[in-house]
Amino acid sequence: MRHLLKLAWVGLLIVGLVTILQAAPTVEVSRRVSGLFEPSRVDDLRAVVPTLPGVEWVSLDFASTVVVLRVDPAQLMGSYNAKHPPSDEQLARRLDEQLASASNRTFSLKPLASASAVPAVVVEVKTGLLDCRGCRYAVYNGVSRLDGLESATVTTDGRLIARIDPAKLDQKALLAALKKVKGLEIPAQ
Amino acid sequence: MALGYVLAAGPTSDSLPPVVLPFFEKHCTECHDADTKKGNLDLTALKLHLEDSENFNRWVKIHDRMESGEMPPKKKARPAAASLAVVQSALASSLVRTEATWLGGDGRTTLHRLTRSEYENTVRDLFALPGIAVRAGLPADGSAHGFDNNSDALDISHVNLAKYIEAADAVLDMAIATRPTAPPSAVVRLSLARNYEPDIMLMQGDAMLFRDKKPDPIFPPAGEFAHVDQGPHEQLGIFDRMSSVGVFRHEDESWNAYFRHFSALYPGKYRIRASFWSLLWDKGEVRPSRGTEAARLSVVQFNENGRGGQHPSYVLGYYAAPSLESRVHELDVWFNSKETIGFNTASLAPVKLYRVGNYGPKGRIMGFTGPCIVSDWLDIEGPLHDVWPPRSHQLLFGSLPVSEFKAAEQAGARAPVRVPLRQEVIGCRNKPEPEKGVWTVASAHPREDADRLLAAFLPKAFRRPVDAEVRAQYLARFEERLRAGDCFETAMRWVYRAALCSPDFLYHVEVPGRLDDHALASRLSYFLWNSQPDEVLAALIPAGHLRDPEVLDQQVERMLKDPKFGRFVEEFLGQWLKLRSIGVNDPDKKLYPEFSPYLQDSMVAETRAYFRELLERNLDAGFLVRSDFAMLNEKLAVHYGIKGVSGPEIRRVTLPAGCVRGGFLTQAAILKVTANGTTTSPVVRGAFVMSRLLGRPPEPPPANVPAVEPDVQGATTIREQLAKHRADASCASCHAKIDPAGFALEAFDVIGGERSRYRSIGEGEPAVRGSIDPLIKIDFKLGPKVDASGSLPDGRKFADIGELQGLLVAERRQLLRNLAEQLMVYSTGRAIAFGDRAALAQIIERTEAAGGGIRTLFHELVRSPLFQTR
Repeated sequence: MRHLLKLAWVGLLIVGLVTILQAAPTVEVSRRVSGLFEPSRVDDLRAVVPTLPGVEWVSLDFASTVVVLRVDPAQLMGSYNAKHPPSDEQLARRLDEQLASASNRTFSLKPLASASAVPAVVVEVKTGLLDCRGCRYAVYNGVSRLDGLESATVTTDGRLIARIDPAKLDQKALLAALKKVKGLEIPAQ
Repeated sequence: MALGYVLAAGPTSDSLPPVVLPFFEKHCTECHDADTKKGNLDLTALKLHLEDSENFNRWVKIHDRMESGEMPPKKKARPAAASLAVVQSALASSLVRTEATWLGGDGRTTLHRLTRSEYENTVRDLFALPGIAVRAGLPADGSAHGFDNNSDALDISHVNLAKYIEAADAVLDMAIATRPTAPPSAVVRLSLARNYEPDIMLMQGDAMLFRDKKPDPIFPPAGEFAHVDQGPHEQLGIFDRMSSVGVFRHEDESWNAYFRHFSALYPGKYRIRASFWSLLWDKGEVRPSRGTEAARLSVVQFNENGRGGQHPSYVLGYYAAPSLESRVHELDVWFNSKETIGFNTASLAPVKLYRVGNYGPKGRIMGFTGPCIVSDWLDIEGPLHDVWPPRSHQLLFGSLPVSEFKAAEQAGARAPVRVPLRQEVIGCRNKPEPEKGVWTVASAHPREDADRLLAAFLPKAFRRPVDAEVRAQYLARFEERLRAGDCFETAMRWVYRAALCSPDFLYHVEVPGRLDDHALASRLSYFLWNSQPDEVLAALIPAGHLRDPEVLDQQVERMLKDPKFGRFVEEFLGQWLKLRSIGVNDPDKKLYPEFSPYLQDSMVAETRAYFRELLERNLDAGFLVRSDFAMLNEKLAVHYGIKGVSGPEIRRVTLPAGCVRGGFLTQAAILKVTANGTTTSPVVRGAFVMSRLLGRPPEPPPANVPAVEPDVQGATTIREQLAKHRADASCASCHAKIDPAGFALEAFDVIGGERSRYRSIGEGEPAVRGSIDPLIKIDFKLGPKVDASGSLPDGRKFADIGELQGLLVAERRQLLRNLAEQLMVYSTGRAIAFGDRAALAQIIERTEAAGGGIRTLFHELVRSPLFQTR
């Protein structure tokens, strides 16, 4: 009798879990992605995404750096409760952790830009010859966390092209940040 | 009358036959009396108290002056040869008799302990742990009669004893297996790119990455702009792609390279494979290199967690890096804990391409033309065990099983202490395998097993049979520890530690008189291997065959061919020819900018290889000073101005006609150890030749006479300064003997380069670059001309070193005699006594009769009663 009861419980548990897992709907998560300092980084990102659990590539707009990923919450989070599904913010946070870990912290997710009263502007800073990918990334890293930076790319001929919120950031602040990059010799602008 | 009084004053055993007195009065006292006292010798006041060692030595000197023909002097009437011989013989008999009385039946070699190197080699061979390093932890040995294995210098103190206990613990820690299976062997492939300070090397322009023999496009060489910030490069994995690393910079005081992502966890044998090639970099273009470059590999030990730097390394060797063609080198090394491999671009000039601020060349690599050595990768495979438990463990515990310690089954015994292994060096990627449980030696019959194990171990450790009574004492100690609660392994460990600290292990046990076979085997083994006898040698002892001349010859031959003979070469040459002092001073960088560690190591390698060649080909003692071949690599060949030698390997090179290189006399190592870092002195070099090669050590300098200081400003030559010094009659007599060889050797500078002008940092003419690397900046000037001519004390003149070599070669017998003396002192651990001279002469006669070869000398020496007697 006891054995029968145990078997019944186990059966119910399996059915419940299968039901829950099957019931988890995939969702699309849109976020800005940090680390896209040049077009070739798109390939890097596309190579990393399939290695994340339950994550599929949907689209990327390089100019705005907005990436759209399709996520299976159960696989990404490791568990799923249909009654209390993870919020978009929770999914994005988990996704960010996974993406950063898989890319040796060269990619991370940021919230989508909020609508600003002032339209973004593009500014350019000369950085000196940057024919090395690692160096371009170092320059990008020097400014990527600045408040007001929408996106930025670094060219091989030595230019940082930044899309900024002029209310929060300007070329002077960019230059000041670049001066802190170890070993960077900034030419006259 | 006075002389008669003095001589008669001595005891009967010290008295000379009456024939001597008239001889001295007739031929000696004219100059050596109280009034004249020439050479500070007053024979009329010299007592014949031979029991006084100082007095004894004085009479030995008188005997030797007469024997060499130096006294009576040539300008005086010569005594009749027969009369001279009678006097010499009489004096010699008296001296021998007195010496025999001193010894009173005791051996001439006093009881002495193992030297540091003998101790280390003995534990290496006994426990089959060929790389265990315990020497550095032991107090430094003294030295007497030129060697540190001399019994007069090997006393023992409480400091030694404390250190022996520590050393024994270190040996047992490594010897005893603490796990049921061998640590897993793995192959780790390492790249220089992420292994040493890429922020300096790769980022700033002292190194660059290559793929397929071309610059790696993902990481272009640093040019006008250096690379920016190391961290982001690492994040992108640029240094993890196993690109080849080309290095332009030579190691220096502020920077050296090592593969820092590996640090050995399990001491043992490892196999290293490394791939190198070279190129000529021409401002962005890869071209064929100027020849075969040399990369150096060394063993480096990390301190603590690796943040505090690392211990000085020892060099494994120099390896060819051919032009545009990778060459893989394979070698076996022994790693102790926390060791890894160091790398250096040995054959490159010390250029620096990095630029920080305004310091350094503006174009960095992209503005540079010069050689580069490339490291493709380095594999470390190991630890390699062919048996488990290892032989060291089997020596201690035989075939007893290693099983998990379970307290419940151990009847209250304490578990052995184990320190969990972990990777302490920050950044190293190799980690220890997790260990589960405490594993130890299990014994069902502890007392019987202990007795059996001790019966096997003690004779091997003590190098002779061990009485049952002695073994019982060790067994009693074991039982005491068992009763105190130790487990079997710990109790046995106490006993083994006691054995390794006992006089039977630490001392050379020799009875006075003729050595027994065990002592003879030990003497032979410590002579040629610097260590205990091996099983083959030991196996000859019970049957009593070891002393058979044929057997002894066979054993000497076997031992000379064994790799362990390398220890003899290192120890003996290190002391006889002072090779140990090769690094005592660094040559002045302004005067000798071409000097490098590679050159220094090549010098030592030449001298060692040359000695081996003399032995291998059984060449005579004349080759000590003159030869028609040399043992060279490219570095030395360029240094000597000899063409046609490529690569870092030392090989035999036939010398062109008229070349004075080859023999020890003109080898760079000898010329360097007899100079300071700035100047040469004919006195120092002359004294070296007199004492080390000719066996005629000069008198020590008087205490109140200042040394002659050479003038590096180039105003006066050392010869001119010495001429003033020798104007003093009291200095002249000694310097007439010391200086000649030194004058001839003035043809060589402090690093053994041939010269016709002195180098100067003051006055002088512009220097000629010669064979100095074009990338090395020259600051020195050419000072006065060198005069390498001179004349020997007997009046024979020489114009240069070549002619001096000719004169010295004529003294082949004296060269052989000196080498025989040096070998005898080294092998027996004692000085040559006056009474040994006859036996030594016999060795030399027999060697000469067989062609005078140095290999023959080894055989004759080992056969001789001097060698076979304590």
